[in-house]
This record gives sequence, structure tokens and C-alpha cells, in this order.
Amino acid sequence: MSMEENKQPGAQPETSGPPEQPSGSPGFLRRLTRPEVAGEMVLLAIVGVMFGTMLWESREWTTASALMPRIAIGIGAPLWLIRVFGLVRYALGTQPERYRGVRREEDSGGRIMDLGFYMGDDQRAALKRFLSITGALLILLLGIWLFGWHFTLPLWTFAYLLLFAKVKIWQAALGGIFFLAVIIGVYGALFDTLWNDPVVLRLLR
Amino acid sequence: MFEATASALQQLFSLGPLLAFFLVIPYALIGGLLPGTNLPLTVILLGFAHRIDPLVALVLVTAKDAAGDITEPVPSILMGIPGARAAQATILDGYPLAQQGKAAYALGASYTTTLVGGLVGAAVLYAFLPVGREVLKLLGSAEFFLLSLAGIAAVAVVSSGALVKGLLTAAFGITIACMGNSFTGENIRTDFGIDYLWDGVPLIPSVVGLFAVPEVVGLVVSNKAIAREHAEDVLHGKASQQQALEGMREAFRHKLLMARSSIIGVIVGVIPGVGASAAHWISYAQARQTEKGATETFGTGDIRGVIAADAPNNSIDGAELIPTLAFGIPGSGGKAIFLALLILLGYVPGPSMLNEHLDITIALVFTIALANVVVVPIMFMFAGTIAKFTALKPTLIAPFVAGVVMLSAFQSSSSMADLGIVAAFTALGLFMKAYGWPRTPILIALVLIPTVEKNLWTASQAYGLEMLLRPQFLAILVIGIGLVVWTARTQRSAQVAAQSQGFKEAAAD
Repeated sequence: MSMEENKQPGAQPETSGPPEQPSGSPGFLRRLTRPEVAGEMVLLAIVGVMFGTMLWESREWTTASALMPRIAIGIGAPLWLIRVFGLVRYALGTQPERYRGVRREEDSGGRIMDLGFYMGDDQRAALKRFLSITGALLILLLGIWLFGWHFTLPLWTFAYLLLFAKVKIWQAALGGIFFLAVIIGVYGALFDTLWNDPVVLRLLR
Repeated sequence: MFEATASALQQLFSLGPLLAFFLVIPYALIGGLLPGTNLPLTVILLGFAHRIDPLVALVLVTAKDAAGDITEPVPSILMGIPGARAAQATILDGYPLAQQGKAAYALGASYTTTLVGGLVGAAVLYAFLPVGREVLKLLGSAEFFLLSLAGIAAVAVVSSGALVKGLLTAAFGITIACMGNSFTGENIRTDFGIDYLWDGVPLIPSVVGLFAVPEVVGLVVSNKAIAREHAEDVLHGKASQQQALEGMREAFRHKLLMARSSIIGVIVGVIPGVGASAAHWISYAQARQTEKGATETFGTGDIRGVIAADAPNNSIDGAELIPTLAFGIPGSGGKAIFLALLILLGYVPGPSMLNEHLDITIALVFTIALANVVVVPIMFMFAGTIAKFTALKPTLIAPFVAGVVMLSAFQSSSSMADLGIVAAFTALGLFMKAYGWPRTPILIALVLIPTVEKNLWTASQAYGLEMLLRPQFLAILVIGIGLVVWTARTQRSAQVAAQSQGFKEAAAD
């Protein structure tokens, strides 16, 4: 996502004037689906759905319940329209790129918090790292759902350390044992945590 | 006040809090060096808030934050790379000094300055308490509602650097916080047909998804491990005790600069949203303009540059607690999580923190002061050893941070749906992070909105539309708008200072 955005930082100069592509030409769609615009469109769609649904449903709420959401939507909706309008104008080619407020690598200065991911020099390697960690986290969540915490988290830690941190097997095993000890000793024995019923166990029963 | 102070000292120096304090210090020292490792402890505490002694939990978080900030300049000076909170300005003069073989000299000055700054911040917080109690007597529910809304708006505008994006995110955050059962219990508000959301969006899984997991992803993507040989350079005697002591003496030779820079940290800390990184730049820029010959020497290894950049580092900690404790307005994401912890522990920010729980508030002041006093000597002795942790590979840290925060998220209600919330908010957080939408306003809204809504309803029932004409309300409105404008301008000047030194922007917290 951000990698794609940052893969083309030099596509246009930061302060370029209005692009030449007129509305309706292939340029419009191409611009609208460029990762840096499309991603923000997704965010705006989420916000729009939230505002729309809440406003619609608030018709049936009491004043006390509806007051705060309506104040928020009253402030947010015009801003949402401004943002959508700005991005569409950019896609239509009637707004200079510098006004669209879409972040690119040169804007982020290689920092972490809230300013895009630090990409470093090797964009391809950064993309690989991004996919590896997000994929690994997805596997972790899926594993917990299917097999439960006791099995998944230690094994996942072991595998991650072995594959990505490239540590020795015994070191990776220590990482796994650490989590097994935390799950059994701290969360289980000390805090009496109620664990989920893993899907696979349920099926086996 | 005297009785509360005595009680605070008595409680703080009892076994539990004191043990917690000394246990958290090593964690904080390492956490300050590595981005993404600071949050897990707070998230764990949020999960266990109802099972821990409240003072122990608050001491853990306060000491962790104060101590962690002290290690911040270590990677900046030794390796020219900002640490967890991005002390970029320190690099400008600290790193050239290290390259000249004076790393310990720069670190000595930095620790001393940070210590003084931390004590100044704690003293200001302590001095504010009696004043704050009087101010709070003038405010009613209408004003608290407005204050909270102004706080969210200020953080939103400043943290994104863009008015539309920032305020839009704040409004979005408020709607998320309004999901589920209304505070009157009369309606179930927008739940998208998911029964789990009847109780609203849970805080801990949201924090984990919005902040912790994207930070783990950011940590791995950035792959910012510091070359081992640099850390080992330090271990091989460059950080000599004598140099460090000389640095300490040098800091005291620039008392005025140290005081001025500490006060800048305090001022910035009181204002929601500006953040520590901007404080570093503002302080550095003012020193560059006012110190004799600084325009020529700053950036080449001038110790005054290190002093100016690092003094606000810890003075901001005490100052940030003023709006958080007194008005319930957290100035940053970190303080929003702190506020959430406070609420989960059963405390209500505002008048009660400065009246019924004044002893707890004062205990936090002393915790900040104690953290500085204890940690600085440790850093003088073990800087080299601690610096070694910066050589840890992100792929080595990531699975542990991810595992711990996932466990904490699940712990909040032991439901798989918690992990669903983590996944949903992670996707949202990653998108927001990638497209420069600030995430802090959502967090602050999740923490504040339940109280804000009650205040709004109480005020509208008590005063009706006349609440808009109350002098206190108008005064806060004017101050609030002025503050947002001033804050935005202040941050812009920090931005200019950062850009003039080759950094693209001052980092957001």
C-alpha cells in the first residue's frame, strides 16, 4: 500500500502545475486509481459509510443519544466533502498536485509515527519486509482462532525467529518457550485467563 | 497541600510502588532506545488495570515514560540516529561531537540537562496544583465539554499538520467512540449488526490495532538496526567517566540556556498536540538565534546545541500531565493511553485529581523527579552497555512485541472478537499511517467521549443554549481557538527549523 505509493515518488515533481489530462480521458481513471489516491479514497469511503449510517440510524434515537454523533457528523461531513472534492479535482486534472495533500516518500522524511513508513533506499526489500510482517501477523491471528494460544503463539514465535531473524534453532526455541511460559504461568495460573475454544478442537470433538 | 505531600511520599516509598519503580527502570531504559517497544507495558497494564494496585500501575507508567526519555539522546549522539521519540535536533551537534571522540562529553552534558529539565517539569507541575484547584472551581460541565472538544481538535489539527484531515479524523473518532450503548442506556447506536459492539468499541484492542501493531510493522519495514560496530565502539572505552563529568560541568556553565530550554519544554508540554519533537526544535532554534556565535558553530559539534535540544526532553513530561490530570485533556497519544489507564483504575481526571486524589497526583510528580534522579547516574555509568541494545535487529524484537500486545488485547475480555477488533483497527491504522492521517485523535476520542457526552448532556439540561453565553465558556472558546492557531504556528516554526537543518519535518509523537 504505502510501498506502492512510495514506489513512484518521482512520477511528477512535487509542485507541478495542473496536469494536462482532461476529464473523461484515460488519465482520469488512471489518476483516480493511482495507489496514493485510491488508498485515501478507501479511507474516505470508510469514514463516509460511518457518517452516513450513523446519521441515518440517529433518526430513531433519543436526543440525548443522538446529540454527540450529530455534532461530530455536522463538523465532519463538510470536511469529508472538501477532501473528496479535492481528490476528484486532482483526478480530473484541475488541481495542482501539491494541494492534494497525499503523502509521498519525500514528504515523510523517513520517519515512523503517523508520517508514512520509512522505506529506506531499497523499495523492493521494504515491500518484501512489509508483506512478510503483515502476512506473519495474519497467520498468527488465524492460528490462534484455529488452534488456540498455547499452540500457535509459541510455534509462531519459533518460526518467525528462525525464518526472519535467522537465529539458531535453540535460540528460536527459547523464544517459543518464553511465550509458553507466559501463557501458562502468568496468564493461566496467575490471572486465570479464559482461553478461546479453538475451532480445530471443536471440530475434533 | 502539605498533608497530601506527606501522604504521597509515604505511599510512594512503600514496598509495592517502590519495587514497581525499580523493576520498570531497566525496561524503560531499553524501551527508550527502540521504537515500538515502549507501548506494550502500558497496554499490558490496561489489560490488568482492575487487578493491580492503582498507585503501582500509575508509578509503573510514569516512571517508564520519564526514564525512557532519558535514554533518548543516546542513539542520536552515538550513532546519529534518533531513538524512540525522534530526538533529531540532538543529532546536529551531538553526533559531530561523537565523531570528534567526545561522545561521553556530549552524553554527560545531555544527561545533566535532561535531569535539570525533568526536575523543572516536576516542579512546575507541583506548583500548578494549588492554582489548578482554584481554576477548576470556576468551570462547570459546559466548560469541561468544550475543553475536551478543544483538546481533541487541537491534537487533530497539530498532529496531522493539515486542518481538514486532522478535524475529519477527530470527527470520525468521535463517531467510532459513540458506537454501541448510549450513555443513557436508551439506544444501541450503530453496531453494524454485530452484538459484540453493543458495549461500544473496546479500548485496549483498538489501541493495539491502531498503534502497537502498525508500530511493529513500521519497525520491521524500516529495518533500522544500528550497525553493531558502532555500539561496540562505545563499549571500547570512548565513553570515559572523565569526559562525562566534563560534559556535566559544561552543562552547568550554561545555566541560563538550560533553564530557558527547560521552560520551553514546559510551555510546549502544557499545550495539547505540539509534542516533544517540536519542543526540541523550538528550543534548538531559539538557542541558535540567541547564543553568542551560535549561527557559526551550531551543527559542527557545539555543546550548547546538545544542551538546548535535550533540556525540553524531560521537562515536557511533568508539563504534559497538567492538562491530562487537571482537565482530562491528553496532549499526545501516550498521555491518552495514560488517561485511559487512569479512568480504568477508577480515577476521574479533573477536580477530583486535584482534591480527593491530590496525594496520588503528587506521588506522580515525585515519581517523575525520582526517575530522573535515579536514572541519570545509571546512564553515566552504563551508557555503553545500554547503547548495545540499539544493535538488536527489528526482526528479533517484532515477534515478542507482537505476541505481548496480542495477549494483552485478548486479555481485555477473553473474546476472539477482541482479536477481530485488533485486525480491523490494524488495517485502519496501517492505512492512516501510510496516508498521513493522524491516529491520535481517534484514541483520544475513544478515551474522552464517554465523559464528554455526559458533560454535554448535563450542560444542555442545566443551561440550554445559554451555556454558549457563559463567560467561562466564551473565555475557553476564545483561548481554545487562539491556542489551536498558535499551536499550529509554533509547530510550523519547528518544522522550518527542522527543514533548515536538512530534516524534512519535525517528527510527530
